[in-house]
Amino acid sequence: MNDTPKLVRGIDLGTSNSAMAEADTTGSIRRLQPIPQLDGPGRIVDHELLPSVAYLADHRDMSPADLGLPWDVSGHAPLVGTWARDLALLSPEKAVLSAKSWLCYGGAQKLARLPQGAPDDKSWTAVQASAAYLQHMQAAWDLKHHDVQPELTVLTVPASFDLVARQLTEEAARQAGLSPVTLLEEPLAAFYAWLGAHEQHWQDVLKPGDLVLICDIGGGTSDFSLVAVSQDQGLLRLDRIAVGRHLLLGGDNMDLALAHHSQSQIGTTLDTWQFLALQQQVRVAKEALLSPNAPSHWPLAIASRGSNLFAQTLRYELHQQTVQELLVEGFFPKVQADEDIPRTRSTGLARMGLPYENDPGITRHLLQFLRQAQNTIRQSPELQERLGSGFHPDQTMVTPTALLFNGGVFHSAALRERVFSVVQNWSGHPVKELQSPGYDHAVALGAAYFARLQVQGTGVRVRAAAARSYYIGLESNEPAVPGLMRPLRGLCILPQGTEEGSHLSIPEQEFGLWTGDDISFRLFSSASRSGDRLGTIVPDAERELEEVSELHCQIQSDEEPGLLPVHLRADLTDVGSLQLAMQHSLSERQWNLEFHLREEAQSTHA
Amino acid sequence: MQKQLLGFFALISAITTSIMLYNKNLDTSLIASIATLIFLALHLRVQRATPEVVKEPKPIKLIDELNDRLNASKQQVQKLQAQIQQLEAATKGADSEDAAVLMFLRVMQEKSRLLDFALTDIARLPDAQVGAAARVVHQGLQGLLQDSFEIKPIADQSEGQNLQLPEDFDSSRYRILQQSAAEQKPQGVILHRGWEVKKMNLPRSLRRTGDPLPSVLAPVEIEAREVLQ
Repeated sequence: MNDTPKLVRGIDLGTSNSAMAEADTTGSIRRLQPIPQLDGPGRIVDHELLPSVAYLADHRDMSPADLGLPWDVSGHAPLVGTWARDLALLSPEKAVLSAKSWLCYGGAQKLARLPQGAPDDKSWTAVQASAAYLQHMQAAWDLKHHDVQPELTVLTVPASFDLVARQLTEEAARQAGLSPVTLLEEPLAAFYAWLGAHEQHWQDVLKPGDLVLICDIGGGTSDFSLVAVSQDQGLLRLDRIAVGRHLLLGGDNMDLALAHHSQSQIGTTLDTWQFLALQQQVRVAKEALLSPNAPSHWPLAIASRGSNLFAQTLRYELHQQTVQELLVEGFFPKVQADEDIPRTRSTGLARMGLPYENDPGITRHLLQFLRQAQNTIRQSPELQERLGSGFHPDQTMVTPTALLFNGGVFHSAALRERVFSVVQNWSGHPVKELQSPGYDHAVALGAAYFARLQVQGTGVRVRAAAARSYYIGLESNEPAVPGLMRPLRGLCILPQGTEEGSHLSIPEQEFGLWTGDDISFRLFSSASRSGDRLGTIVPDAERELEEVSELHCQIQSDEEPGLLPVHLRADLTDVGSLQLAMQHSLSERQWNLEFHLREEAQSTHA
Repeated sequence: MQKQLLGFFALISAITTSIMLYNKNLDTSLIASIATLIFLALHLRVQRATPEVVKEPKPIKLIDELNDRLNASKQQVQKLQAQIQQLEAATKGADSEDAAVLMFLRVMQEKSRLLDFALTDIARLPDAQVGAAARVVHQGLQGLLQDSFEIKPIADQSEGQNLQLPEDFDSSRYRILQQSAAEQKPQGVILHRGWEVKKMNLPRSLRRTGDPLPSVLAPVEIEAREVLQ
């Protein structure tokens, strides 16, 4: 038994679906692990995807006997997965949905209780929900592997996750008993899946100067990343050079658009249940009508809730033309490279609920991302050097040379073709399409492949420096003027592009700390200010930066009396988490700054 | 006195055995009671034998005899236990098969409205209505079959093509129709390509033997509404 190869694990903790992949360290196994889950009362099925939905049932919905799982016969574990998703559609007021997206937004939103408006004992934070999904997958792992734990677990997060959201994800993993985990960005995981599937010959496909655009469109979110290929001491080097912002726009929006259109055409008001049935049917219709050799129309039939299936079944025919107009033109319009894009929202700080995108045009968001990436590169001589001939200073946008699709939406060939032709049109030069090993599964498989590389310590790596810069808020030293709010300045404490495992400190910027006080700072970040250096001051932080969280630290008065001269020290760890400390200017002593994330502290904000 | 004590011990052992057996499986309570009865009888016999025993010069012999009886009844209990296990396995098989079929019926109703479709008299309904309902059932059933099985045609060739089978073909996979005895070679035109299950991923339950059968195929559904007084 000793020569059994060690196992590693990749987990895709998705906004709408999660998946788990296992791999062994010899490289002979890399596959998805089916996850047992409830599909109805007392009914357990194995599915490769675990819907990331929790249903907070009460005794009137079901008895514990209905909720038993192989690892929890008494049925006390929370209900997550397929059945929870189906119930959530009918009773959204008891369901926790899209928990992950809540982790992306600033301030108290990160720890909002879900479902919103439910009492505390009938609601969860996004961290608790994420922990529940992870715990379910851990139990499924234990059942299959007889409690033999993986050597390493790699957990994926959106590239757009800021450091606090990453830290909260780690916290969820810790609560689920998964630690230690390593975090990996989702588009990169999809890219690793491609590298793993082409282990022997990826270097024949990608050449120095290539720029890979990873276009990841999930059920509820879209995520873009750019990877640059360059030569470094005779070897190919891969750098993730830009990530997009978190877009709350995905495949579910498309199904919803089709369902609303069909309902208006049917002309009868559908009840909730019928509308959900319609949504499921248009999803099937969408894939059929957007496939190669698609039929000209697809019949839909919506039954009523009662047992008489015959009298009240509604019929409608969905035409290929309609789907083409609504989805391909509506969500992936042919945008010209020089098109003006109106700025819709500056920051994602909507107070109630999630800030869903106003503009459904994914290609417009993509264009915006490529323009922003060009700005980022313009400000950074290091990136220009790395790109070499791949950087065109005269262009307004980055032009990718290769495209990798990820996410269930891209099962539809017509959508892949549209994005491909739009990007090709922007680029003006041929673009390669990298074949994904599976639009639904690549992230989990790629994470497992990455875990294997980590454990082996060999193989190709994509360097992922900090994609955002971070700032702490400083009160201005200007004299107070009545009626005029003094702008908060932002001091750059971690510039974009900082490599993992770096230690930064700003000795020239000294702070005076009063002992015994609870000192707090506001933490800001930006994905578009690659020119800022350590110590750069942004004049108006609230306008130009995005607020991430609050930091605080307390220095006990018995340690040192009075005012302490300190400076700030930032460490970016190997796994991409940020640690901040106040370093005493005259000694080696330091006090850690912690993210203001205690749940009890947050509840006062709500 | 010693014999009474022995009888008492025998009773205790019977009780503990039955407790042990009871804990092992809920349904062995039957066995437990049989065992208890045997030991009770044994105990009574010992008590009845007590006056004789007093006359016995060598009590050791009686202990041996009791031990033999004890062993004999232990063997009897084991035999009964094995019999009950066999019976149980037989009933368990049938019981869990029934439960599995009921569960799959329920899934078919949930996903495809199959019961609503099949249990309605459609003789007088127009084809258009039946057709519309059939689409609902078809889409649901197709999805369910794809989720639960991997079903593949047996024959690679399409229908209407010729198929030549080897002499020792598997008659469970191929059926040759209208073949005269004179005809020697197993061959012909494919009428139906056949189906076979390659993989299964059926829903399962944690139900135990003896639990009530899951006979509800669809619960009554009630929408919570304000009732006007």
